[in-house]
Amino acid sequence: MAAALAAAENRTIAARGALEPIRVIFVDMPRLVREIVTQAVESQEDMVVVAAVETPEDVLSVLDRQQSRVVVVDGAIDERVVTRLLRRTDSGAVLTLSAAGDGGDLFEHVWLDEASPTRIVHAIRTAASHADGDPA
Amino acid sequence: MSGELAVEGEPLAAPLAVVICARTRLFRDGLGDALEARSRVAVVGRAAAVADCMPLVVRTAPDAVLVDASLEDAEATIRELARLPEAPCVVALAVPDTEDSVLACIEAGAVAFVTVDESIDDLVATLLDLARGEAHASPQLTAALLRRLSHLAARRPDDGAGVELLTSRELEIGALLAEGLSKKEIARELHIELATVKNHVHRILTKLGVSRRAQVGPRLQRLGLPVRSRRSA
Repeated sequence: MAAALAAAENRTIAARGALEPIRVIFVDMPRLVREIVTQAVESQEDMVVVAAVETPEDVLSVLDRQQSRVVVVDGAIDERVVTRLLRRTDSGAVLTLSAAGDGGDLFEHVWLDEASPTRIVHAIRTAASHADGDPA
Repeated sequence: MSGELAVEGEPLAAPLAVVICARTRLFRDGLGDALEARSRVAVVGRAAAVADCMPLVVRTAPDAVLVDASLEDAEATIRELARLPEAPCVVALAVPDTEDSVLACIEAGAVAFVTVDESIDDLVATLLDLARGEAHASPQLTAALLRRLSHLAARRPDDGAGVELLTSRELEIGALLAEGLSKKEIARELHIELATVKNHVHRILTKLGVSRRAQVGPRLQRLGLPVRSRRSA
């Protein structure tokens, strides 16, 4: 079962890699965490980090320009801002990472405590698949 | 040698052996792998909890231990590591960028820190600086450290004339004496020989200008050093 799932994910990766990569934007993430996650994302063939911005206001201007489908934000961010992001990324997904807090009605929330780099990469890929209307 | 990575000015012969103690798996795995990719750092152990960290440090005898500041008991962990007989350098990791947070880690025994807003390269540079016997701090933090040092010095009583400064080991043993531990108990606690404890106690009594162990606690308190009683707890 696990092997079949992995094979399916690999096929998805290969197919997407042949088309266009998942474009990821980081928002308001502590630099140390951002660098670790960036390293994990950029080791994937089907993903690319297109921007890292410090404030939610910055991301709104970057979103349209970069046509990003996945926005990864720090979980400590104001939930109202995430709601605004969700409205703006109606064809994309917002993934929040945090050590504590409530994911609420966000698309996907990853607790950092036990999240490995591989888990985060998988969550980004899943978010992108949902954004494509193609649940992985 | 406690808390020292290498002799100042000497080149590093081998990669720095580092243990990561972090609740966050992203630090244990992701940061660990990122450090491993740098040829000058070798991650020799990764622990998610203090209970796993201590035996790991004793077994691997690393040059440095990175302690995730978001651990609930981060300061206690740092303190415990710093009290090990062959204490490694303790670096507080992902410390909130506030004066209080940084000072708390340093007072617990960390010899360096990296804030959440610093980079992996900053962390590596910090480790290499430690190996050279150096440490860097912002002008603001340097000022805060000086204020803190000045505050501690001001708490020393005037009647301390003639009292030499105790070494960190003597302070440690003096604190245990003040807690009510016997020499044998101190030897067991610190994993050192009884004869070594006796030597330290003799020097402590001399430096504090007292003749009995029971006088050490009150004397340390008058010097402004924190003393707690284990016997009455």
